[in-house]
Order: sequence, then structure tokens, then C-alpha cells
Amino acid sequence: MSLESYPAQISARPCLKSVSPGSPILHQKLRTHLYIGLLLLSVPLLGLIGCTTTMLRPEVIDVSEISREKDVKTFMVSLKKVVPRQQFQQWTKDHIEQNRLEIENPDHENIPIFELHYHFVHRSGRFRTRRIAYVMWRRSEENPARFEHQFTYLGSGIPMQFWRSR
Amino acid sequence: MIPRCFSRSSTRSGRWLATGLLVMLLPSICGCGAFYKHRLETPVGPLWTNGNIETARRYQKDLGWMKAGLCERLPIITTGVGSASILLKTEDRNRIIREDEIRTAGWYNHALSLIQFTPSSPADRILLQRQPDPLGHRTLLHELTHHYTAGDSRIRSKWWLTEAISCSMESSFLDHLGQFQVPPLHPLQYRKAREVLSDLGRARFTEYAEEIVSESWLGFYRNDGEIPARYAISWAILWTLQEQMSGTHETRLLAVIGLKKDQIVARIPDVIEAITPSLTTQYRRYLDSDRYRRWAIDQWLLDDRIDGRAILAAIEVEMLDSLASAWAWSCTTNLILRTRSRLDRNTRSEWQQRIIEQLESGTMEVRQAICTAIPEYRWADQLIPALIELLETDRAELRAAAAAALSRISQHPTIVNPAFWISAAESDRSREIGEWRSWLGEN
Repeated sequence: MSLESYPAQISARPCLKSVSPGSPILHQKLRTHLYIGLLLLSVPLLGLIGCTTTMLRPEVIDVSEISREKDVKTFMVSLKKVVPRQQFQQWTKDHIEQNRLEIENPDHENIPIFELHYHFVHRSGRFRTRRIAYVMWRRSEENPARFEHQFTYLGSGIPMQFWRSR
Repeated sequence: MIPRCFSRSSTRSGRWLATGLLVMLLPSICGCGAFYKHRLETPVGPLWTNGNIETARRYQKDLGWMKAGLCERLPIITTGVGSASILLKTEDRNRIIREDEIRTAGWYNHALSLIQFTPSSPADRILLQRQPDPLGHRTLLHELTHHYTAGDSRIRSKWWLTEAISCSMESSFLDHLGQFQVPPLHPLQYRKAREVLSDLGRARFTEYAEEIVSESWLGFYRNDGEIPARYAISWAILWTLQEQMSGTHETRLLAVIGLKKDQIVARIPDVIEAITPSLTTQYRRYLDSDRYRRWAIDQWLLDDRIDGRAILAAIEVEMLDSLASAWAWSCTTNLILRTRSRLDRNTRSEWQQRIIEQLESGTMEVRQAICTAIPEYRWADQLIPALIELLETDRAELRAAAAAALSRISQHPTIVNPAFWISAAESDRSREIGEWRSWLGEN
């Protein structure tokens, strides 16, 4: 939304250009317009800062792999702090892309990965580590070159052994 | 002035009203075809979807027996009920599920005769795997029951009764003889009602139940996190009262519908008495019933606390019926390969041996059923050689099921993707089977 409103604020600037500096009234007008312009400019800037803050990636301390099968990868991702819920899926998507998991299986050549399971864990203060989210991806049946996000589950009530899809 | 203003404003309002109405009626005028890619004819009415057509076809078939079953069980109430449009929602691929969230899986609109429901997703299949709805029928049957019972204004005017009737019918199923069966109780609702009773105590539960039978639409469906409790108590009231009546399913239901509010409130202590026994006690009772024995075995096996000996004895009774074999071996596998079954070691070893014999020489259906039922269990190494043999069978689905079973009981890494075991080149599969054999030789 903030990006969409940005061009409208830029369009206010030609007004400033159209005012020629000369008389004090004009100077006063110019100053007023300058303030307004700065104010208008600061809105999208604040918006941008806000967006950057919300789009911050989860601070990951450690990623360990606990896969048991050749074509099913299971990762334990330790987080420094709890992140907004939408970020889990995005983080796993980035992880898949960075590690080229759609086309490569690092441990077993020529065996395409079928499923990806991500367990996000967080240790708050002196409390023991607990799982806060689980994300599952599976190779698409319609387009086997891609993974499909199956779901993201937020919570820790279901023991890990139940997260089996077969 | 005033009349002119009035006239102008009324003209403007009239135009807005007309535009609004047009927008609202547009879907009806254009038909759902404007919004949905696929239309399938079903015995209930057209089914519309933008999702997977194969999933829609499965529900198309199900709607046949569901409608027939409801009409057979409720012949008076369902008389003259017209068709309904069914909207099958597509699965949300970016779904985020919160622990303990309550989501609407489906709804029914009486004015438009419209049912909307979401088919069970991979998330549901994992998260709800211990709920008694393996085929994902519950939501559709629940909404369909609303459609077939909403014609009766006595039902429609009482929200607790509307939901209680749908809950009582939603877990109906086709038995092995192809007959429509309504389960003797609803385990989920029973458990929930007991939970509420335990939390509130008898006095507060009675007050709460009284409130529920008097609730308006807004009160009953208010989003306060207590909707499951209201559904469960509504179901418990109907279930108890129906049990007190005599006659056919519908006769008993009509007798409950005919009760006045104070008559229902007066019987709430009976509801408390009815839900006091544990679910285990109820299951044990139904193990003796020829009609509900299989249902009771299936349901009890979903629980953590079971009486393995009682269940095994009941399975043995069912095994006498040759039609039951695949189902019976599936249940046996589920029972024998689990912890806390309360079966002694000799019995478990003896039955594990019988399971192996079935994997080696049973029918294809029995082998498939066993492979599918094998749970994650560490102490089933004896089954591994028989399962490896099945990786070479001609039946593709059986190979895939055997591979999945091996992945659940063995630590040896394998390929799980069913597509590999169904359609990969024989040489690739042989390489994988060779690895399994080498591993077996070394261990």
C-alpha cells in the first residue's frame, strides 16, 4: 500500500518547481511547500522502514539436518527470537532456493527430494527449547520440478513423531 | 423542497438498491459457472469447483450414498426436499494453522440451498489422523444433513437442535455390506461433552446446557472459542433424549423435536448420567454388538488407552467372516504393532508371526491393508524381510505401500516417494532393493 501511494506524493513536487523564488511571500510559500514536501517524503520513507522491519528474516542460530530417508529431508531450525508467523514459510522457501533443493539432493545424487520438513525451535530464557512452528513442502504432482507448500503449523502440542505423512 | 429532496434521495437510494440487488443476484443470474471451472452433476445437485476434478469426482460418488442414506433414515423429514448447489473449495496452499484454532470447514445456506465445504487437506490428514473420519466425509455429510432437515421449521428454529442432528449424522458410513450406518455415538462429541462436564461440574454444566437450548443464532454461533463445547453439549442432549425414546431412528428424532424447552431442560440430569461412563466403557459395550462391533474396534484403536485382549477377541469374531479379512488384518496390525496394547509378549509374538504369514501368502488386498496399517514401531524387525520381498511385486501400489511401511519400522534410509515405487525403471528399483538386501545381510 505504501508503495502504491508513493507516486502520488512525487506528483506533488512539480508544484514546488513551478514556484519561482523572488518575493518574501514567494519565499514563505516556498518554505511552506518545502515543509509539506519533506513531510510527504517522510511518509513513504517511514513506510519503507516499517516494511523493512516487518520483512526482517528470522534470526537463525543453527540449522541441523536430521533426515532419516534418502528423499525426505528434515531440518531443525533454531531461532534467536520468535518471528511473525508469515516468516516461517518465506524462510523455508529461501532455504530451498539457496540450497537448490528442488533440483539437487546433496546427500543422494539422482534421487530427487520428495518432502521437506522444517521444525522451528526457540529457546526462551532459561526454559528448555520448544518447537514453535512446523512447515512442510512436498514435490508437486502436477509439476514435479517444483515443491508445493503443504501447510505451516504454529504450536508445539503435537509430538515430532506424529509429523509423518506416510 | 422536502418532497423534491426526498424524491431525489429516494431515486438515488433506489438506484443504489437496484445496483446492490443486481450485484447480489448476479451470481444467480450468471450461475456458478461464472466463478467455477468445473461442474459435476450429482444426485444432490450440481457440484462446482475450481480445484482438482478427481477430488470432486470422489465426492460426486459419495453424495449418492449419502443422500440415499439420509433419505432412508429420515424418510418423513426429507420428503420433498429439493436439490442443492455444492461449492467445493480449493485447498489453500499457503495455509497457516494455529494450534487449537477453530476453523469453519463448511457451511450451509438454507435460503440459497447452498453448501460450501473444504475437502480435507494434507494438514488435516496429519493433524486429524486420529479422528474417526479417515475418508474426509464428515464436513460434507454434516452440511448435507442441514440441507435435508432444514425444511422442517421446528428444527430450523432451534440452533442447538439443527447442529445436534447434523453432528449425529455426520460420522455415518457405508458398512462392509454397503449399508448406511449411523454410529451409536459420536466419540469426538462425547469426549468433548465429558470434558466440559469435568471442567464445569454438574451444577454449572446444567446451567450451561439450559443456556445452549435457549440460544439465538447470534448467541449459538458467537465466536468466543466455545463453539465446539456448544456443539458437543447439543449433540449429547439429542443423543441422550433419542436413546430414551423408542421406535425407528426418525420416530425417536421426531419425538425429541416435539419436546418443549422445559421438558428438555428437565432431562439435563439424564444427559449428565449418560455421558458419565468413560468412552472405553462405551466401546466395550459395543464390542458385543454384531452391528457395531467393527465400528467399536475401529474407534477404540484410535485411542491411546485400549484393552488389547478385548479388541483382539472381537477381531477374531469378525475374522470368521471372509469378507472382513483385509479390514481385520489391518486392525490386527494396528493392535499388535503398538505400545501399551496390554497384550502379553507371547500373544504379540504369535500374532506378529501370523501377520508375516499374511504378508508372504495372503491375498493382495490383505497384504496391501497390512502395509498401509503398519505404524511407526521400533520392534517390528521380523517383518522387514517379508516387506522387502513385496518391493518386487507386480502390483505397483503394493510396492509403494511396502516401501512406506519399511520407512516407518526401519532405520535404514530408503526412497519414500510412492511415484518411484510405482513408475520408476525396474533397474532403479532393483538397485534400491539390492541395498535393502545387503543391509539385511549385514544386520
